[in-house]
Amino acid sequence: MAIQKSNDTLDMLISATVQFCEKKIAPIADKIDRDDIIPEALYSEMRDQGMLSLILPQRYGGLGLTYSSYIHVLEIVSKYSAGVALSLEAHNSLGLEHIAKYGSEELKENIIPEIIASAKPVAWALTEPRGGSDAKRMSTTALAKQDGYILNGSKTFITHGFSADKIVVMAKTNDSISAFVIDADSEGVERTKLQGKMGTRGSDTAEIHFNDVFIPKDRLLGREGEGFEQAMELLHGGRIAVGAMAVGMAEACIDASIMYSKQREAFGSKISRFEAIRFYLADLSTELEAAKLLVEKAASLRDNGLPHRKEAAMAKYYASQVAMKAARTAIQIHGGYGFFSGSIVERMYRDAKLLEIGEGTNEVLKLIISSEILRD
Amino acid sequence: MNIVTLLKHVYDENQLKIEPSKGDVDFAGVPGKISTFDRNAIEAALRLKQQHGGLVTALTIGSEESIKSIREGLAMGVDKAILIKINSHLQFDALALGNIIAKALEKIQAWDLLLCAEGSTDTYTSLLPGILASKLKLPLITYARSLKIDGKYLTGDRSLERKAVTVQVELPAIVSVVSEINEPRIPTLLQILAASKKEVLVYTLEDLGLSQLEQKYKTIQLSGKGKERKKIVLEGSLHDSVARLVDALVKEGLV
Repeated sequence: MAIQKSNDTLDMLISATVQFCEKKIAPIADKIDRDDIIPEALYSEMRDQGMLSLILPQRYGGLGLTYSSYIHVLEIVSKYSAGVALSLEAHNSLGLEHIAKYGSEELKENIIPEIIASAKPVAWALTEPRGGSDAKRMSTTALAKQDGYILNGSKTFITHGFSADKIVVMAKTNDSISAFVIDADSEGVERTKLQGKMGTRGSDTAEIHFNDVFIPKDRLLGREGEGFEQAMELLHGGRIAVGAMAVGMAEACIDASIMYSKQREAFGSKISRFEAIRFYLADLSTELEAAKLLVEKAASLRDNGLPHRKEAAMAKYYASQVAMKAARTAIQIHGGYGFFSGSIVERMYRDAKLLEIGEGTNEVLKLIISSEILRD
Repeated sequence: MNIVTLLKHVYDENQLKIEPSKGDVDFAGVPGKISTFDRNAIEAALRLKQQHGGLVTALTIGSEESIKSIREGLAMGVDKAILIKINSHLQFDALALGNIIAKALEKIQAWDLLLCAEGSTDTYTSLLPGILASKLKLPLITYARSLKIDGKYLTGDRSLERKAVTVQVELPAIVSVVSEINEPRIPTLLQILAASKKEVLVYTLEDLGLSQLEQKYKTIQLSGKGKERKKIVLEGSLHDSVARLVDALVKEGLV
């Protein structure tokens, strides 16, 4: 397996991202979680920093990062705010990437500068109220008419579906699925912000209803009937990105636990001297390294255009469990202090749960992994 | 307005390992970084460029490793860079460095202002600005915390311990800045990627026609200095603790 070697440019990207997060995200991370909103000013600053166009090809004004570099940016942001990282992931890996990869050149030339100028993330609407993992049986329809399509149906759990200006929607056209990008303020679009989210707060989650929404013909992404395959291809990348988020969050929990255990005293000694704590940290650090390698391998395969359906699923499946375990153990190490809001490990514990659900539940990922290895 | 900034690649002082009993400093495996206050000098140069146009050139004397810090300067917005390649950034004293820089400046056709930090985070001699001003016979402003250019004049506020002095010199001039002058920008990710395409000219001492360099002092020994913390814990009610904390800080002369 080829592991991409660190280089000066990547080091600088990492260092600049750390500086940005320290300055712009760390001071408001708890507020983002408490208020469940990411300030528009932060989106503008992230846009200026290039974080809203991380993997967008340079010919459209993006950074054109490889996945092997992109995952490091997501890892770092996740250490500070999982809500912000999730928004970046859904925008970069799914919404914007769908347009960049499958939109017509004319559409991209028109729409991408508008998206970047707005500093609003693009939402990506696949999941429906009647079943998330069973995407093929969706009930949202786009009926063809002379100059476009008429969209009807509902989508739910759509990341930044409430605040986005543009929404990529998957819908049935005849018997197959097609993908479209629509303006969120189109007539017939109703959006409701879902309240009471447990974690990854800040990035709003919405339910969206489409009532006879007209979609111009040129808003079709790729060709009619290709939407499902497009979505699955993008989800492979999304799973690597969620794996990277998990790595960042696990690292944040381990860092916090190391710091706490070196300060906290019990029975006349720092608790970092106790074998129970040391074993916790040894296990978590080992599992974190394994998760990193899985994510890096999947990213490297994607960058090189090699099959990575299995590896992307493994990366997300394993790394999300490591993040969940790291958060749970970190609270155990912090004791009562980790059980209250205001503690980063308490926030990460709530945040990490999403990683086992979003972008394909871990149960669905196990089906993917097993079908790949059994080839049935 | 063409500006030259001095940029030094130094050991990251936060990652130096110091042997506790003898104070021996272990440089092995310590990564390098841009000298902290050089980022303030670069930021000052970039802001003056924004107001007055022109080019900002970074000048570095150091080993091949220095490219890492040069790229960071280029990512911040420096237009081009010159590296004078030597074996180690600790190889020469300030006088020798002054001689090298004076020669290297001949490679830059026309410049109006040379900006540098008040000192580098490794040797911190703060001698270089004075040596350069003397050698090049140019006016010097040291410890500048603000700069303003009006035509051919440069006005600067000097930050001194208990007073501030405003001075004016005619350009071209040499200026050292303090960290209070600005907050260095974080390079955007796009600028970082663009930095790898910017020009870095590399010269050797032979290219500059320098074979023998006079040095006036040499470092005999280098040792780390530990700082003993007082570890005072104030117990009791919050009200009493705060009062005693204030007393303690006053006694230490810290407030």
